Amino acid sequence: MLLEIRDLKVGYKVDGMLTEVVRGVDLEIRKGECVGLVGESGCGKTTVGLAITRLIPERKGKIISGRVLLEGRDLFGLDDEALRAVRGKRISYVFQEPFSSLNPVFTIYEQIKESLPEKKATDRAISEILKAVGLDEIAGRKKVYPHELSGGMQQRVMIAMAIASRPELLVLDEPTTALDVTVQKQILDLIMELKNKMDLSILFISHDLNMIFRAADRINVMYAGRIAEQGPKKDMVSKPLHPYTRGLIESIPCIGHRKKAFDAIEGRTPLFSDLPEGCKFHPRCRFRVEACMKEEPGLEQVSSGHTARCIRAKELLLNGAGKGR
Amino acid sequence: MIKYIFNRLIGLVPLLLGITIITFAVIHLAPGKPTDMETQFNPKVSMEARERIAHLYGLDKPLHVQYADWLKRFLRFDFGVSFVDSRPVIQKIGERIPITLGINLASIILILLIGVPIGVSSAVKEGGFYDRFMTVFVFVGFAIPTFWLSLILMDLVGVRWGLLPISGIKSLEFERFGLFEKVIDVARHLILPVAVSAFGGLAGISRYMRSNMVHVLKQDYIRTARAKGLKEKAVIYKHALRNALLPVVTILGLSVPGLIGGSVIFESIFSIPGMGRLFYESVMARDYPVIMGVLVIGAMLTLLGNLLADVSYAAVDPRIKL
Repeated sequence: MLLEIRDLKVGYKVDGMLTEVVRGVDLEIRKGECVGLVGESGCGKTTVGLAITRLIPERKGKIISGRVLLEGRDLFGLDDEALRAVRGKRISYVFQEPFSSLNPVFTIYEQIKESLPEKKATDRAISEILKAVGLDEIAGRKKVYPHELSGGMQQRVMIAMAIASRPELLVLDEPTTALDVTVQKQILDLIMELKNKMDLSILFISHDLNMIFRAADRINVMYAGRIAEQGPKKDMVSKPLHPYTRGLIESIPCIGHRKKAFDAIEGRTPLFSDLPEGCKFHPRCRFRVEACMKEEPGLEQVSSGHTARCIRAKELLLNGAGKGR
Repeated sequence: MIKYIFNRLIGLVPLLLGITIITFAVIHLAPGKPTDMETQFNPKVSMEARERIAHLYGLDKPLHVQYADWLKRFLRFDFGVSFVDSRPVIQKIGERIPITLGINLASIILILLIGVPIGVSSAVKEGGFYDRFMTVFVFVGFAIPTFWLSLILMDLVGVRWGLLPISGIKSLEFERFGLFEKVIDVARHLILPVAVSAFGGLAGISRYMRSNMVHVLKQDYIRTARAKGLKEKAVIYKHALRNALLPVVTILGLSVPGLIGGSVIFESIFSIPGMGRLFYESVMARDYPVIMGVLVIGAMLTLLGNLLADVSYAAVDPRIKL
């Protein structure tokens, strides 16, 4: 096991009060595996990604409890110095907005150089990294600034910075969301290519289920700060257990699929300051029963390696309910 | 770049012309005449004599003719002679500019040296005790009237403790000093004025710097820098500071006119023969050539300062191309 997240709880400060937005998340990433973390905006998935190396700004939020184990070593127990040796070296990040994530006043060359250990930061090494992410045209050029590149190229630079020091785990936080659809595919292809070449493990965070289905081996669905369902990709596609996962899959629009309107999940994500009693999804759930409003269910294993946080998971699976497509 | 600067300079010409017309008109429209000092207070001066003096100064001609005369001389960079002591205007200004410029330059350097670190460290510890203390400190400096603080310091440091001279920029024995002693002497005279004006100006730069820095520290690229595993020092003093300093360049360019303008109150308190007092005295005496000289040179430096701000911004920010 490369990375284990155990009962992670993170809160954000709102008006001086700490509001829990990650309410106990367990997640595992094996070596060489791509794990998807999917959910609507504001479900806490980005926060999980940042919390792994304690990147949540102190003035904004706080890791309340939990453990993050990198090959068995608890990252939350490390001092700042030791943590810096993990950040960017063993665990790297690629963020959503490449333009704002690159420092506008430093050249691409300087910014990639920073990601390398001093001894290895040679011009040749930097050129090679740029070539590895398909930026041959700016490899060897030292005076290129972020604003001179297109969004797709900027994201390639972000990826170059992330892989520069050959990390074991890559955390991709919505790496394609800010890009054009055609560019999205190129970036995804690049990521998959690098994953195979460099034997990377990946945590792929996205709200885009299509992307997750293409990239991930295993998928975690997150809702209101907790994992709602977790399992291997093929199980999740063929027999989703949680009504929320089902809703997400059904709301993917399909070209050529003649429907008057695609099914969206009704309602909106609840506010963390005002979460409903019982199952947090019940106000939006088509299958809710009396019991759903009383107690929040735990993650139950339904089949091997496939768990869901729904009291009716097994029952609904047997009935095949809601498979309207 | 060169072409841009050239085009901007060409563009400044009509602007400067407009400024001179308005200034010239306003000065001459103001009540009182340059001849008043010599005539109004002396009952023996006849009507004839008054006209003769006015004619001597060219004040009997129509205003537009006077302006044309002034402009012709200005094109040769000749600002005429003072009505008061008949010395060339350019010479009178030339004596004063180094003093005012020197004091203001020293003060702005001091403000930057103290204000930028205060702003940066406040932003890093945003909302903490240090931040709040510094906020109060710089605003106290901003709020205390310059003349009051000057007088208090002159009384304490100069009179009671006798540590520093309190007025002028040279001692009486100045001419007898060697070069090294001269430098020390001027420096000692300037400590109080520079300190007082820097204290008052601290609030501006430090608050500006603080808000820039707070803004920059929330940017995504700061998170990227942290995610790379950079030292917090590198994150703040390399990635954040460089971005937060960019707008300060503009502020500096825009402060050029203030550097030579001087302050009447300030220079009067410390008896500093600078531009502020020259301007005040010439306005009181309706010394038109000197007033025009000070204002026009001030306007030119303001315009050049703006240009300098734009050019230097392009020099430090790679996103801006001229």
